[in-house]
Amino acid sequence: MIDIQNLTYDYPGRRALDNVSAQIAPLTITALVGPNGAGKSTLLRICAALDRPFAGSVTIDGLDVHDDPRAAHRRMGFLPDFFGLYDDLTVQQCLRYRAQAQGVASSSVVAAAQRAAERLDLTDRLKEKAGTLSRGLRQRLAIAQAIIHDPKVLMLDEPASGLDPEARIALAAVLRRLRDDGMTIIVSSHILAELEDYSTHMMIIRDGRLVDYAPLGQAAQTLGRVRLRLDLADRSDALETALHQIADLTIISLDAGHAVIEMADDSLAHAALLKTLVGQDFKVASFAPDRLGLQDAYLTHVKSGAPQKITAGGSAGVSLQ
Amino acid sequence: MIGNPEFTRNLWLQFSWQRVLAAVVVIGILYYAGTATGEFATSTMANAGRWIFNIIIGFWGTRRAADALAEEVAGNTWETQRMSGLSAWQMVWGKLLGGTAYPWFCALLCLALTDIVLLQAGANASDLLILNLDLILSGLLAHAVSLGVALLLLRKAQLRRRLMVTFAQICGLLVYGNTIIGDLNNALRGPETVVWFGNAYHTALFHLVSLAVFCAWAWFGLYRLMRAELQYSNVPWVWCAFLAFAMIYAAGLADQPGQTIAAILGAPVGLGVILVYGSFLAEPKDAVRYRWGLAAFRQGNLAKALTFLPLWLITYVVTALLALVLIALLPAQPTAEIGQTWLASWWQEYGPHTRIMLAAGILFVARDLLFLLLLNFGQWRQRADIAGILYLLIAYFPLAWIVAFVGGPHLLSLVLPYDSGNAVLTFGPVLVQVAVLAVFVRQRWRAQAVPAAIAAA
Repeated sequence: MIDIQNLTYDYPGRRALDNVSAQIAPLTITALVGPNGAGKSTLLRICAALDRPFAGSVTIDGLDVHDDPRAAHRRMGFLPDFFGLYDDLTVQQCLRYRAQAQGVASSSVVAAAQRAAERLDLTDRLKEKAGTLSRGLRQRLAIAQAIIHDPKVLMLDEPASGLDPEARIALAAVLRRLRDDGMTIIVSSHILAELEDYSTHMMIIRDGRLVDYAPLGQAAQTLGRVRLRLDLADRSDALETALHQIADLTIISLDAGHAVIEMADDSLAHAALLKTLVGQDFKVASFAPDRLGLQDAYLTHVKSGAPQKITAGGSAGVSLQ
Repeated sequence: MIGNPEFTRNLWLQFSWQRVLAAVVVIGILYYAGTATGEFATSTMANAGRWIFNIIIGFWGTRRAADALAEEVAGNTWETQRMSGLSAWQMVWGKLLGGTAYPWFCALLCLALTDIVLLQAGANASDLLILNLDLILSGLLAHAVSLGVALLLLRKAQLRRRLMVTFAQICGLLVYGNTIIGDLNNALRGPETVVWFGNAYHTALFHLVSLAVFCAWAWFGLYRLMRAELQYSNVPWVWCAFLAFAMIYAAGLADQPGQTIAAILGAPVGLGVILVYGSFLAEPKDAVRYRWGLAAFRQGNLAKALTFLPLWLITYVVTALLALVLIALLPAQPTAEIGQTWLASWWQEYGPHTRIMLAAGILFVARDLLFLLLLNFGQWRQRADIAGILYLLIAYFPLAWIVAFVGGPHLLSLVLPYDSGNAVLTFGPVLVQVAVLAVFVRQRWRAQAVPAAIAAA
C-alpha cells in the first residue's frame, strides 16, 4: 500500500532522514514511534507530500506522491500535530468545504459530509460552529475532514495530544473502525500507551534511521526470541532460583507467583522448561507467549544498540534482516 | 460556487445578510446625502466616490489579500489546505477574489453610484469605461502583489508576525498608489501620447494595456509561487520570460527619438540590477536546496537541477551579459550620439568613466550578493537580509563619504564602483572582496552540510 524507498532529507547541518525504506501493508495501523527529533514528523510530512525529499520516493497505491501531490492528496488524509479549524463555519460547512476541496463530486458532497459526521459521531453537532466545540470534538471534526473523501491511507501526527482519557479511548475506537472500513493508518506519537490500544505494527525511528518495523507482539520473534509468561497457582520463592538455572533464558520480570521471561523461539525448549518446572513441583497454572507490549518492544529495540536495516517482504508486509 | 470551494468558503465567511445590508445602507445614505441636497458639484461627488473606492481597495483590499494567507497560517489551517485536492490555480483565484470579496462588493458599489452621477451629468461612457477598468485592474494587481509578498514571506518562514502581514499589505498599497498616480498624470496630461519603441500611443490606453499585462504577469507569478508551495517543481522558464518582457518593456520606454542603441540598453541593465536585488531578497537562501540542485546537476539530471536554480542567479547572469554588451557598444570618448535622456546628462559628467564603472558595478553587485549569502548561511538567517541591507547601505553611503574625506576620492573604489584612473586600484579592491567573500561563503556552506552530503557535493 505504502512503499517508502530510500528516503533522505536534510536540514541545515543535520540529516533528518537517512535512507529510510519500508513497505506498509494495507489495512494495518502502524505506530510511528521514536524520541523527540527522531524524524517522525518529517517522515510523515514527506509521505503526505508536504515536503520533498532530497532522495528517495514514496508510492501510495502505485502513485508517486511527489510526482503529482494533488492527485496523491485525493487518495490520502493527513492530520498534522497542530491542526486548525475554521471556527466561524459550522461543522456542516467545514465538512462540505473539505469534501469539495478533496475533489468529491458535487452530487456526493452532502452525502460525504453526512457519512463522515456519522463515522465520527458528529451528526448532532452539524449546526454548531467549529469554534464552540470542545477539544475532543474538534479532534473528531479534524479527523472527519481528513477522511471525508474516503482515502485509502490516513496519517495522523500526535492525534491524541491534549485529549482527556475518555476522548483518547473514543479516538482508539474510531481508528480501529476506520481500519475495519478499509483504511491503512499511520499514527505518530510519543505516548506509547495510547498507541498500544489500536496499533497492529510498530515502526521505530531514531536519529533519522529506521530501527525497526514489525507487527506488534512479534517484535521479539523477529530477533529469534520469544517472550513467555508463567503463572503459578501457589506462590514460591524458589521460582527465581529455578529460572536462573535454565540456560539461555532472560528474566524480564519476576515475583513469587509470576514471571515474564524471554528465550529462544523453540517449542522444544519451551516444553523442556515446563517439564523442568513441573518436575520441581512448581504448580504451573499457565505458560504461554506474552504479547509484547508496544512500550516493551520500543524499549527493547532502543536499548538493543545499532539500527538495523529494514526491507520489505513477508506475509505481514514486513520482515527484519 | 463556480466549482471553487476556496472561493465559496471565503464567501461563507465574509458575506452575511447583515454585512451586505450594512454596506448597501451606509453607501446608499452617503450617496443620497451627496445628491439630494444638491450642494456638491458632480466632480466633487465623482472624486469622493473614487477616493472611497481607492481607500477600500488600496487599504482594506490589500490587507484582506495578505490576510487570506496569513489567517490560514495563524489558524493552523494552511497545512490542511496544502493537503487538499485544490489546484494551485483554484487556490490563487479562490483566495484573491474570495478573500477580498467584501471589500470589492463595497468598492464596486461606490464606483457604480459614482458612474451613475457622472453619466447623468453627461460624462463620456467610453472614457468612464477606461477609467473603471483602470481602477479595477489596479486593484487586482495590488491585491496580487500583497498575496504574492505574503507567499514569499511564508516561504521564508516569516509570515507569523503581524508586522510582516502589514509589510505585504504596504507592498500592495505602494503598487496601487503608483498606478493611481499614473491615472492622475494621465488626467492632467489629457490626450498626450506615450512613445514606446518609437511609436506613439494614447497615454490612457497605453497605461491600461500595460496595467492589464502586468496584472496578468502578477497573477501568473502568483500561480507559480503557489505551485511551489504545493510542492510542485518549477523550472524557472516563467521567470526568464518575465525578465525578458520587463527588459524589453523598459527598453521600449527608453527608445525615444534620437537615441542610440547604447542609450536604449541602459534601461534594461538598470532594471536588471533592481531585479537582481529584488529576487535575491524575495527568495529563501536555502543551503540545503542549493546542495540538492548541485547534486542533481552533477548526476546529469539537468531538468531537476533547473528546478533548484535560484532566480537571482539567472537575473544576475542576464544583467551582467547585457552590461557587457552595453560596455562594448558605448563609445570610448564623449560623443553627441549618446542621446538626450538621463544617460546624456550622466555622460556629460562621467562619460569617459562609464564603461569602467559599469564593469566595476557588476563586480560590486556580485560582492553584495556574496555578502548577503554569507549572512544567510550563518546562524541568524532569519534576519540576514535586513541586516545585510543595512550593512550595505552603510558601506555605500557613510563609509564611502568617510573614505573619500580621509583618503581622497581615488580610494572610493574600495567601497563603490569608481574609476580611479588606475585599473589595479579600480578593480583590485572589489576583486579581492569578491574572492574573500566567495571563500567564506563556501566555508559556511560546507559547515552546514552533514558529512554524507559533503561527500556528495
